[in-house]
Amino acid sequence: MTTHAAGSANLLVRRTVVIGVALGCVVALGFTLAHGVVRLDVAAAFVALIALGELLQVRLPGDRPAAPIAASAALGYALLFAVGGQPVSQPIAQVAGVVGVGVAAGAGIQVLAGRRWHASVAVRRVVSAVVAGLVFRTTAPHSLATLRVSQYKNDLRWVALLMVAVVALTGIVDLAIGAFVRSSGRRVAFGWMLRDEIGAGAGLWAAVGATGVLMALATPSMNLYALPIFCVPLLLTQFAFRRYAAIRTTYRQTIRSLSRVAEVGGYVETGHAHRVSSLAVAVGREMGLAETEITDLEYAALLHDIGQLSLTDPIPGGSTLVVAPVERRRVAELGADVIKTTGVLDRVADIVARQADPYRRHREAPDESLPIESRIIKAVSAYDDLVGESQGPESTADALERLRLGMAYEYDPAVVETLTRIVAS
Amino acid sequence: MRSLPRMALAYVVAVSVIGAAAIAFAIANSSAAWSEVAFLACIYWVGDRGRVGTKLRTLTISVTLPIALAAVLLVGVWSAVVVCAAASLFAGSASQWYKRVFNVAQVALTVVAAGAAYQWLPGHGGDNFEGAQFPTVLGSVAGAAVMYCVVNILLVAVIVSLTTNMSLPRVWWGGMAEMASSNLGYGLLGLVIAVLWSGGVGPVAALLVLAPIVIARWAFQQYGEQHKAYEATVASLIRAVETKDYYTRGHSERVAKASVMLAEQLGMREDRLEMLHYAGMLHDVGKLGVPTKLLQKTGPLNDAEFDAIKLHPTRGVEMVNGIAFLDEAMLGIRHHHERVDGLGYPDGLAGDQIPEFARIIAVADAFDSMTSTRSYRSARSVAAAIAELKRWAGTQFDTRMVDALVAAVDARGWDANVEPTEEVIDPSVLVLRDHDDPGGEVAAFGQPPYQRSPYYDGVQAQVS
Repeated sequence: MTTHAAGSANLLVRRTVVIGVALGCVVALGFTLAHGVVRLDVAAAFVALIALGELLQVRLPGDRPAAPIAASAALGYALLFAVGGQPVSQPIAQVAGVVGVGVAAGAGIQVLAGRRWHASVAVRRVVSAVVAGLVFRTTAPHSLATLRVSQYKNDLRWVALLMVAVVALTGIVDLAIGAFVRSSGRRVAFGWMLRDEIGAGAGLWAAVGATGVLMALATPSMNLYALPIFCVPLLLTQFAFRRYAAIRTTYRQTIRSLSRVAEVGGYVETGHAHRVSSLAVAVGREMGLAETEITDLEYAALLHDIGQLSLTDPIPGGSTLVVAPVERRRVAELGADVIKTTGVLDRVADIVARQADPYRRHREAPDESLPIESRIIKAVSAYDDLVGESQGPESTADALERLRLGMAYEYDPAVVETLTRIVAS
Repeated sequence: MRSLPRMALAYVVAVSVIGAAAIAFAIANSSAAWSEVAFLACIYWVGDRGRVGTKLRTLTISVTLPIALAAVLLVGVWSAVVVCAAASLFAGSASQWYKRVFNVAQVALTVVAAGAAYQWLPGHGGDNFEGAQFPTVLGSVAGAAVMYCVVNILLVAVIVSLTTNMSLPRVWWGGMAEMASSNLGYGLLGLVIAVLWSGGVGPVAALLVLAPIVIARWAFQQYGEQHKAYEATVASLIRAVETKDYYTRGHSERVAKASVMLAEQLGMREDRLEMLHYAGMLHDVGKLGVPTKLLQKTGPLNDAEFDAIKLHPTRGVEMVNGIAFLDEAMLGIRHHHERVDGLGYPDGLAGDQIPEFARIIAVADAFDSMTSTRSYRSARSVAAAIAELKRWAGTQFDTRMVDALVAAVDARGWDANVEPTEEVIDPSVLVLRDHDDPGGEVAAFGQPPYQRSPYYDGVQAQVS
């Protein structure tokens, strides 16, 4: 998917962000080393915790990797103002340097262990630490810097609220960066992507932010012991998110496997469901569908031919394109009935039910109620039927030509256009 | 209330009276500011409302325990009793009023016990946490958390034991195992709340400490919903596959249930039970690769036809090997037609070479097949099917598995599936080698419950 035009533009944005942040970190680190490190022991403890956190990743919906412990530690260090009764005033450059070194150390271990590592997500931890640190430094009450215990203790409940506000703001900035990176190079409204990003990440962000604030608030009295203690509830959160991610993966794998039943039964050409679903998802992403819609689209594409199981005799060759529209609609409806019995995939059933409907009828306006996912599946499935297993350039061009002939009536022009772009690159 | 046994009724009344006395005493002796008590009660109530199970036996998520302990540390035992009793009066899922009264009394007594342990152990600061001494207070808090757990489970275990047939030690240890591991951790969080709260952060500390737990609980809830959706989806897709053969309708689900019943009898761990459930569900999915004509054939199969059917376990594995979590289930699907004497298919494994899942599914499969009606013969009785299983134990089936299934069916019964009897069955057709029957004959029908009813939900046990 990264091969097509939008994907490469997206990749360019990601690379620019990563390289920019990495350079910034190096400069900050150099500056810090030149001016002397404030409280080296504290800095080392946070580097270790961030590096460890990088190793404990979870996957949020929509394939978004996250490292909650590393993110909290980075925030905690940015907001830290005292350790064990002693004031600690590390400059913002040191915050960037420490978080950068921690992230890099974690990444190094991951790469050595042969695991995948996502630079574009990891740099967001540096960015959020710097944002939080800057905002907090400009707004915090003066008593914190001098740490006159009699004063700051009275201020502490306001400092706590201030930190919560700073972290909330940082969270919004971070999710916005995520949405920007994901939407760049695609024809997707940024606001739409942001909503999607918030839906997927806000819950974990709240837990991460609360833990970061706690680390900063508790180290003045509890010393560095506060760090491991506050990681414990976050580990529980992380565990819960892991389970959630695992069941989502299993669900997807199962639907993928079971989508093959129609193929093994000789009803459909081998690999059709799989090809249609990956192409449909690519089209859907390009057209800016939200994460939940992408999932529905993927499932519906995988299961779009399941209705053929209910036919006594398989349609020869499996292609639903060559049979009469009436028959196609019957397969769609039978499939939708099967999917509806699950009781949880009603929207998927709806998409499957309407996959055979034309984009618009003669002399009528396009049907507004026709789901975009159905339109995508209709075009992509027809394309796959026409191309068949041979992916040569002529058959691709022929297939696209035939789809274009059906444009304006049978197929949604926007879908065909996107499909053409994706197939061409 | 009429349905309550006399002993149980006496117990409920006794606990309620003692609890009420404790609450009355607590109200008279509560020294904390009402605003603090009200705030703590509010978060206790909110935490208690959203109780969820995690589907994992060893892990329970509690928001109430840290709050209860933090209350003991911050506002003293008697005010803490007021906090927890007031909040639980309005919380909980119990519908009958006497259960509600019991729960409130039970919570109050639990907090009194935890508070007494805390005050009795060294290092505490009395009703004011600022006087506490580190690190000795850590021990006192741990002691209080343990006491909380012990008293809470004891009070609830007695009523569960009195209203069901289970012995007290069994209920007690079951509950302890479930809760003890998480409780010390939650106790520690209560301490952390108290440290921060009294250290100047104030009530926000409680919210900050609880945020990750609340969100973990939300994620577990999502997990639970997704898990339910997953089960429903697999079940209905399997039903769709079974439409190919009218006579095997529901077979996969029943085999899954029988396998799980059998494995529970063997004391199998819960995560493996779940896997076995899916293996049972999916064991025949490879039959889709077998021509429908063969599956629906009324009459003996020739060798070539039987060879085609023999491919289905391997085909099944090919179909589901994209599902990563089904590792062990895969073996069960592949080898469910092996025989302990080594004459089965596809690999001719013998005895203990055959994976445990496969040996279980083989017995469950044959049992359901025999007690169900098939196109060429009617269903057998459960007793006849068991006799047949016993006859083939040691040659076709693992004797241990057969015994376990017999014990499970004896204990819990079996609803055989006899729906398709309106069809005319020709008794003259004797099938020697139906692929699911032991030795070579078949039949089918049933409904074992794959469900467990935990007595406890959340760390705070309750009667509901």
